[in-house]
Amino acid sequence: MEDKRIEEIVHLYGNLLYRICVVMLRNTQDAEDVVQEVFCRYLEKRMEFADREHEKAWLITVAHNLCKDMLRFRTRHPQIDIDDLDIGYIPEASGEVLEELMQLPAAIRAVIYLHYIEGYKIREISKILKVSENVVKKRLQRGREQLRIQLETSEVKAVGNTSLS
Amino acid sequence: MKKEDLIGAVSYIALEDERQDKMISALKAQMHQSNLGFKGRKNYRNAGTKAAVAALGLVLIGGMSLSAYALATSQLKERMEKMTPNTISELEEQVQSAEVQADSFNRPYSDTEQERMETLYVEYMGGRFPQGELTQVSSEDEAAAYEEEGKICFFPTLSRFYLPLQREMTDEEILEVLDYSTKRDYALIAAAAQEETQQMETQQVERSAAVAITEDQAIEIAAARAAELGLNLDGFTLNHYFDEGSERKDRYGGVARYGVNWSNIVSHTYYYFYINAADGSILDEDYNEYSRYNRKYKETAIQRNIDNGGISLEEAIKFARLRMEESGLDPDGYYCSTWFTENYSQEFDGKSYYQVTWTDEENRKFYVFFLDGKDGTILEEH
Repeated sequence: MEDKRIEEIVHLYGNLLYRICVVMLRNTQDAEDVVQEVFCRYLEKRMEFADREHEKAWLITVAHNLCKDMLRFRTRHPQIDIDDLDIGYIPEASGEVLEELMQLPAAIRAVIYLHYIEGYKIREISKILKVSENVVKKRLQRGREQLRIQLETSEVKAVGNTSLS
Repeated sequence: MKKEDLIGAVSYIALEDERQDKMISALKAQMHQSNLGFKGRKNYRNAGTKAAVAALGLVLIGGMSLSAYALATSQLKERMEKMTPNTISELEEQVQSAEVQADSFNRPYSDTEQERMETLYVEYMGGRFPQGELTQVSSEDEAAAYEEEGKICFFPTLSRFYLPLQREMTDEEILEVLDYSTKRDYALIAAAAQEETQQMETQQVERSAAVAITEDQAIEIAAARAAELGLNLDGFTLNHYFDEGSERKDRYGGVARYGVNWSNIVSHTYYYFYINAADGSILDEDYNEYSRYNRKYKETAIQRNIDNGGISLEEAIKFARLRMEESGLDPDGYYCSTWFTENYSQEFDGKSYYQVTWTDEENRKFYVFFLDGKDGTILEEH
């Protein structure tokens, strides 16, 4: 019974948590470690959840907290190029977008991810990340601004070649 | 960037099936170990996680879960709250200083003990408490002596329960185990809460000390700077926010700051100012490169640098080029973009600096050099 439950939760939430952790940590190995730890805690706690959404939110909260801990203490691979991320084939255009995302500060990446990828509302993100709605709004705003600007700047870089080289 | 692009890009991040299977196997192995006394934890877990594991101890004892919410039972709550700060501190210390990550037992519970424990747990929650307390020993030898006498005891250093080997536990003994585990659980939660409160209070004090100007004043400072730069903000939307900074030093030294920006989505022009909340100084200012004001600002700032004896943009590019060549890279294969930052920034001890970026768009590689505006010394590169 226990074994079946483990398989079920890993299949159900493994990719979701892994994506969040990769985005937060920019390192696939650390992301895997964190995901495994999240599941460990899930199995240890044997918590009762109201529904799947509640369960999912709890898992994301734990993953986020563990990522924060790891970012705080991590000394290896403080920065990683998108090319070094072993996440399989990424079309060039997508890689560029991913790179822009990865360049944001971790706190902003998390908010952007939860809002745009997972579709959480500001109030929900506030509960998941245990920060005020105002903080979520500001991080979203900054993330939106920076993503837009970074993309524009990279376009300008290509143009810049003609005048400087 | 479109939202769909973002979703599409992230969708390529996936845990491979093989990795998933490995993870499942590892989790199964860990859970099986835990059911036998939870001896096989991973080493990398830090001390802070001991709280969670210790809380798990009770779960394993009774096959049921106890959380802080359980303390809602008034009699139990009262019992826990009667614990002195010293007792709480000692219990927490026991867990944190234990040599192992979780509880273990000298023998498994029998089926009948398990059943009685479940019943007694409910009664315990309702106010049936033990007459005495679980005996604690200070060495394995002492524990062995108790074991030989058929008495129950607990050795905190190894977080190990020694149950009577020749007989089943009495109700009193089961209640003592439950009571000890509950108190320990409570102590860990209380200690964590206290630590959190202290941290919040400290942060609050630090934040108060770090914030000396209001958001309105920050806007005024940014507006004054915009005027100084000759920026026409008609038709621009003003946005502003407070950023409390972070423990981790970022490019602004982690200080509390205000972000003030003006944007014009029609002309794709944005001006950003970051104001130090402690003293109103400008930490950074930024402009998107579509702005003609931006280019004008850059040219003017570089000219000021040259007038003050600094190097020109062309010289900065030359130094960066040499550095690329020293590294065995051919700069001609890269796009070059530049920026100049005047000495208002906290970066590089307030030095003015050039940023020269060589980008290989095709292979998505880039090299960034920060050069001292004065003499072209490489301040940072990555």
